[in-house]
Amino acid sequence: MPTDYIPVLLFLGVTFTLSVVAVGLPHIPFINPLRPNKAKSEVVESGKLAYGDAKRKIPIQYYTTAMLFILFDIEVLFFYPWAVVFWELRWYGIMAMSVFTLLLVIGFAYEWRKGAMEWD
Amino acid sequence: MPIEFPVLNFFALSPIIVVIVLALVVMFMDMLSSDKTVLGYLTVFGLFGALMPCVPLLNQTKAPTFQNMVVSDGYAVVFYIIFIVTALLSSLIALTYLENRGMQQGEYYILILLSTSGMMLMAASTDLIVTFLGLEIMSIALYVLAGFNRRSISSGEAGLKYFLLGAFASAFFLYGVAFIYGATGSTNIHEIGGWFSTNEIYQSNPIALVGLALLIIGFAFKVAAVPFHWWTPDVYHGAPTSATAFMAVGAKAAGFAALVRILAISFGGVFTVQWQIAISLLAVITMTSGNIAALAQKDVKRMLAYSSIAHAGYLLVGVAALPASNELYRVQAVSGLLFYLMSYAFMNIGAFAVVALLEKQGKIGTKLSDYTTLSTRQPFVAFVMLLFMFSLTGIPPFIGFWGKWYIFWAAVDANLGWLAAIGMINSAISAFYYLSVVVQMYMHTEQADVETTPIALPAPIAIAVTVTAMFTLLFGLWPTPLINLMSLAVFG
Repeated sequence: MPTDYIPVLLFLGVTFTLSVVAVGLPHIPFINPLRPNKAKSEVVESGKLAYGDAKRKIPIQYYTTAMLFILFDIEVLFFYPWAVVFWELRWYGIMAMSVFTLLLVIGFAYEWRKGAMEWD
Repeated sequence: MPIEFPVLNFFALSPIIVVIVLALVVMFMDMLSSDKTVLGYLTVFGLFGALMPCVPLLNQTKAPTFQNMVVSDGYAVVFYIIFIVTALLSSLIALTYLENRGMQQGEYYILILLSTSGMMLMAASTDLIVTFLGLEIMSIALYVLAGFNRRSISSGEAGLKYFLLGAFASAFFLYGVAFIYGATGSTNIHEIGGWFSTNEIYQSNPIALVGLALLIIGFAFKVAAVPFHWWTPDVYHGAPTSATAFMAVGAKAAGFAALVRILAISFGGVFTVQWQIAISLLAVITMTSGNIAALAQKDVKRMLAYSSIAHAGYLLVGVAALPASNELYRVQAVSGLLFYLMSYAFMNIGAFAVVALLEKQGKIGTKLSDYTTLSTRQPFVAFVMLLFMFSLTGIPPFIGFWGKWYIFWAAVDANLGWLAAIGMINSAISAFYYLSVVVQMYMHTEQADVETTPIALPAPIAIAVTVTAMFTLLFGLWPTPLINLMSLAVFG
């Protein structure tokens, strides 16, 4: 039913209007008079003073660490719903999760053996 | 509240499971063994093992399983065989090719196996989400394979280009799935088809039509159909030749496997006029521009890349023939397509094996001039290359002729005689560039400044070319067993 999608259209309309207002308001001189000073034109970094250049060199090892973290983070996520319905699933759940964990362990052993965890 | 456990028929998916377990075993062996050649042989023999469960599955009736997300029918099993044979032959090429270039690593075989499992999942899936899952499993492994030669800039370029455009194609596919889901409320391809037949007033729903168009665009990227083919020459050229052989055949076959199933089941009754026209036009421009671009190539690997675009065009002729007037013709079109894909696997992998053999150290691709005097330097390889080139052109009595014969026949039966005629004209054009390789090999022998040293033929690649040449000739002379196998490929 096309009429079922009216809320979506409404949502789109509200989103668009709000964005226009939010982006447009600061450009009205009456609301936002331009009086720049040093503190105002500094980079906003969550209350911290900014330092250095953003184009610093970062050790490439961070990349592997970050990637491995994402992999394990997402995989461990599957354990939570399993833990919640652990008793209802019984042996079925244990079997399924053992296979999943086995795959995870093989992958883990592989990356360990291949030296993905070594910093140098 | 008790949870209802689904009944899972693992036997129906046993070939896929065997391939995944094999990938894990190779991975495990990679940790223990320092001799990576062993892993290659393990892959080859393991893939033979994966062919075994296909035999009982072929004679079994269709079995939908995993809550109707996948099905094990003749169609899927025949595709399993195509993918396994492709992976097997390309691993044989890789054994020699990677060894010669100091790239013999376990990861290569693991990625080939994982990619194969994704392709098999695509062929078996009856749910658009599972199709997407298979598509990604296949593609992500292929991106890495394309960039596997880390010391070569072209290989890195190939990997990156394939990744960016492949991600683009996946987005098109998903966007299409979203539209179709919005229009019909399901991602199951049988339910989508059923929804259209019960809700007749929505049979011209523009939302579903847009979704279908985006879906076709996504697959056109994956099978390298013009005008979505721009990545193909660079990727196929830059990737290691053994990986090119694998993805030129495997990824194309997987794309067609999913596309044909979705078009035949979900959209067999609606929008047939629209998608038949769209696919026919795609077929015409794909065949023509693929062939014309291939004419200008001086590099045989690049020429084969463009020729693979042209072959995608011939295959699209078969897809366009799907909305035939009766069931018999439809079955004919599907089995013709499968026959073509199988024959393409043999002759194209064979041709790439010869390219892999002749490729010089530190260079990518082989110039046409490298083939001069091949008939005296390595007569056997020159002879099999002759077979592959004749077969790719579609000259009888080779397997490529029968592939084209069945596809064009199906097109004529579906009242697309004009499309078949364009296909035949294109085959004639393709003869020019395929046969120029043969001319180089056999007729330019009297030049003075050519190399005359014999070329060694290592065992794995020798087996690969012998097997592919044997099948190219054998099934060319006697195609009945193969076409009988393909006629088992019915949808479940």
